[in-house]
Amino acid sequence: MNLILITSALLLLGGLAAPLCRKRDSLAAAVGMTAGLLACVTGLAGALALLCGILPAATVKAGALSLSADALSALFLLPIFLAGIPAILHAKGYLAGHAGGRTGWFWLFFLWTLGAMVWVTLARTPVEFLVAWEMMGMMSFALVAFEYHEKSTLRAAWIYLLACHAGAAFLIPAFIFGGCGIWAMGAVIAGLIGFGLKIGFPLLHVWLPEAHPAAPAPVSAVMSGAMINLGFYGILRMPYALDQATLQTLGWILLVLGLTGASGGILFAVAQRNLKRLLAYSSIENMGILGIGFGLGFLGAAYGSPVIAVTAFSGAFLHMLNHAALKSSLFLGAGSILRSTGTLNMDRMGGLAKRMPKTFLSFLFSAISLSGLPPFNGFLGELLIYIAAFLALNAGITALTGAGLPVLLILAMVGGLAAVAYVKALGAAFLGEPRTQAAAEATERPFSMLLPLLIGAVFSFVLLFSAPVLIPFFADLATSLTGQAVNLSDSTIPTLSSILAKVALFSLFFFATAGFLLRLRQRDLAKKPEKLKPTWDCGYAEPTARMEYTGTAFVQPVVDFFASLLHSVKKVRMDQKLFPERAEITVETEDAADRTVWKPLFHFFGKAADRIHRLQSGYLHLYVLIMVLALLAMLIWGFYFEGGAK
Amino acid sequence: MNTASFFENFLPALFALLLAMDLLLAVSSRLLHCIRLVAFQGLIIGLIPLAMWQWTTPPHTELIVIAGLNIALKCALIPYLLARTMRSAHVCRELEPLVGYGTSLLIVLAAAAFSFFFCRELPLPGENVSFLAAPVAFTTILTGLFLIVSRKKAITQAIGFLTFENGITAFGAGMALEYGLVVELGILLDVFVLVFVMGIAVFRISREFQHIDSDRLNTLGDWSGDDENEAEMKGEN
Repeated sequence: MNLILITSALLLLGGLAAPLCRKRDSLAAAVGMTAGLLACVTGLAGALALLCGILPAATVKAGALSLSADALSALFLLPIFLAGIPAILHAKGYLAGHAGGRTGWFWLFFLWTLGAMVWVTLARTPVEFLVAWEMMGMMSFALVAFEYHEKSTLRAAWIYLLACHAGAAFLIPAFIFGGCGIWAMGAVIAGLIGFGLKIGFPLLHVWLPEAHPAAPAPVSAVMSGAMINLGFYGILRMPYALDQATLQTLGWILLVLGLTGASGGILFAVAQRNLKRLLAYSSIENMGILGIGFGLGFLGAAYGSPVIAVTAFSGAFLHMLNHAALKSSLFLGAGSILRSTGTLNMDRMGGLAKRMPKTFLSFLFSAISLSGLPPFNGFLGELLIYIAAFLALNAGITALTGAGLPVLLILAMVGGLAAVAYVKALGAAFLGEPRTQAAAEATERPFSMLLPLLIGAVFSFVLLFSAPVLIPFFADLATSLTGQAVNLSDSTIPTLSSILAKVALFSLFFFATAGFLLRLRQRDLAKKPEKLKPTWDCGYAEPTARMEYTGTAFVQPVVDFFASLLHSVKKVRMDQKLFPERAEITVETEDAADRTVWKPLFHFFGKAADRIHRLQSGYLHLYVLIMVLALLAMLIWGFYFEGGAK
Repeated sequence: MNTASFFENFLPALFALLLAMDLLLAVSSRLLHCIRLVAFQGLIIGLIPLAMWQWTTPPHTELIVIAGLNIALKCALIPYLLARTMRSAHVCRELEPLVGYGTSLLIVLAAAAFSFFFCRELPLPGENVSFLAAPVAFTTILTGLFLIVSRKKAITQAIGFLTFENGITAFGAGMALEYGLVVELGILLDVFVLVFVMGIAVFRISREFQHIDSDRLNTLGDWSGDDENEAEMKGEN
């Protein structure tokens, strides 16, 4: 607990100190980075100790503040630091030369965002929680709007602000009515919507694909890796009753939201051209997977199967940690690419693997891992959820079978599509020949921007090998969250641990073999002189970059297959001459929720507001008339309907 | 006829006169006439507390001071200022009100009917409070608001505001509510300042725009209104 308090204090003070350096960008960055790193390392140690029960859960009261940390807080603190440490390291290089004297302010908002996130996990009273939650939203809003000179950034920041406020609007009633009789279920729904806005549940996800590309890369990394998880933290902290009906409702809602979110998110990820937008949609997908895990867990608990509950919850927790480490690395990698090529449009990159080999390696590793492919860490969490789904399928209860089957099908589909999305991202950005001058001139980032990617990879490996050890702690948490204790004679937890240990062993073997083969190849190649030829030189006489597959072209079969869901708009321009000289094609995929729900809704409100605006005609007479009529109406209402006279 | 019964009859008469002034205000187009009507209303307002007073007890200085100030300000000073403004702005008639005079009379009558109907519900606070006090005061308030809404000239609107204000004072006085000297003085100062500012504004407007029609001021707003309105305005000019 003390370690986490030190973290908070360091984040707070570091944030305050950074803007004091005024225009001295490097000094501000040094101050912010030092404070942030110290804070995060301390916090990581504290959170790990708390989760593993080395340190007991504790409460600190200071005046009106009441902070307390337990295993659940610790679990959700971990992603903050897992994503935070690489992001802090990366931010210095990312901002250098692009902050225009505002580095100090960046660090203020950045560290305070982290601090607010820590505070969210520690707050126990509703008011405190809401203040922390709003502070988290406001600080990160400032970060999203950091590059406010661009109009699209402002728009994204505006959408993000709206989402934050809408979330608060639902959370306040959720807290007020939480746990009071007939309103309890309504409060749970309001809470699901409020927190769902942060998580990015389907329909509520609109801000993610807007805000993530607009924000600076370290901010996207922290927001995607850690902040959106906190929505699940809020849901798990809601004072839901542990009876069967509530658990069932919660489970089914989370499961359905998770299934739609995962499949929809990854489908739209496939169709994106903007690298960070793709990653944002992938975050929606991963949050969907978490939703599936939690939903399955609650359902397992509701139908009296603690084994399923523990397995599914462990899977969700593990996937959350993995996602935090991997997604932050991916976003930071995207930030490095942006700094090297000046664009996020994947169709304008290409050939970066030769120019930024280390960034490529990190991106490749994280992408494969996040697609849920063995032998990397992203596979583990999904594996546990698969196991839970199979258990549900075989549980012999119709409802659980009904839950398990779609989970299996959709998880498999999502995994496949995730692989497509990341192959597209990797292929379009890193392989082939550069498609633009900027991509051709790209160079590897300095060490300060490679180190965070390395650290992210290290985190991933640590997670891969420590997963078997973490399972018992996850199981304890799942038990306290669902009220379903696993029978001690049951061998679930040891079995799960041993499965994960086997996977880890296999991974070790894989890496050893791969390393050995690579070494062998290097030794072999060292003898022969190496000849460098242009990419794709074998098939064409005079290959140019225009001949190669673009990302859009690569995913076209998938996009066409799901056209009824994606509604991509193709704009083709072709010369009608005999020998066409110019041809252009752009494929834009607008967000489905935005297109079908939010745009018409906001359009409707805009129209209504315009109609009301007519009243603001500038005629004094009309204003007075409206006031008089309102007064009279109130008077009559007061006398005749409220009995004010007697 | 002893004093007490004289005043008992005098009070309803005052309220009846007030009501008559309201009806007259609704139909008079000449500004000078309106000003005189408002001035006369001010006089009535000043007299009401005196008429309400039980003269068996020795006269109250505060009461007489307030009544005197009310009469001096609302019956003399403000009408004088308004008349001077009117002359300096070279207007003497409300030529094109938004609501015609016949309709205005009907609306004010309807307002009076509504007030009488509505005020049946109101409990009377004391014994010597006239049953006319509340409805008439209410009618005066509504008349004032109606004048503000339906007339174009800034001066008529100032007159409307004065009528409105008179209604409120009549209500307070008629219900035998005593606010004390400071509050009364505060209200009077408020009204005075408002008319003063209005006078200056009217003078400025008339010098800048050659008219004092407040409905054309909407072109000065930050939101310029519908295109239709603007087209209409151009047509007028």
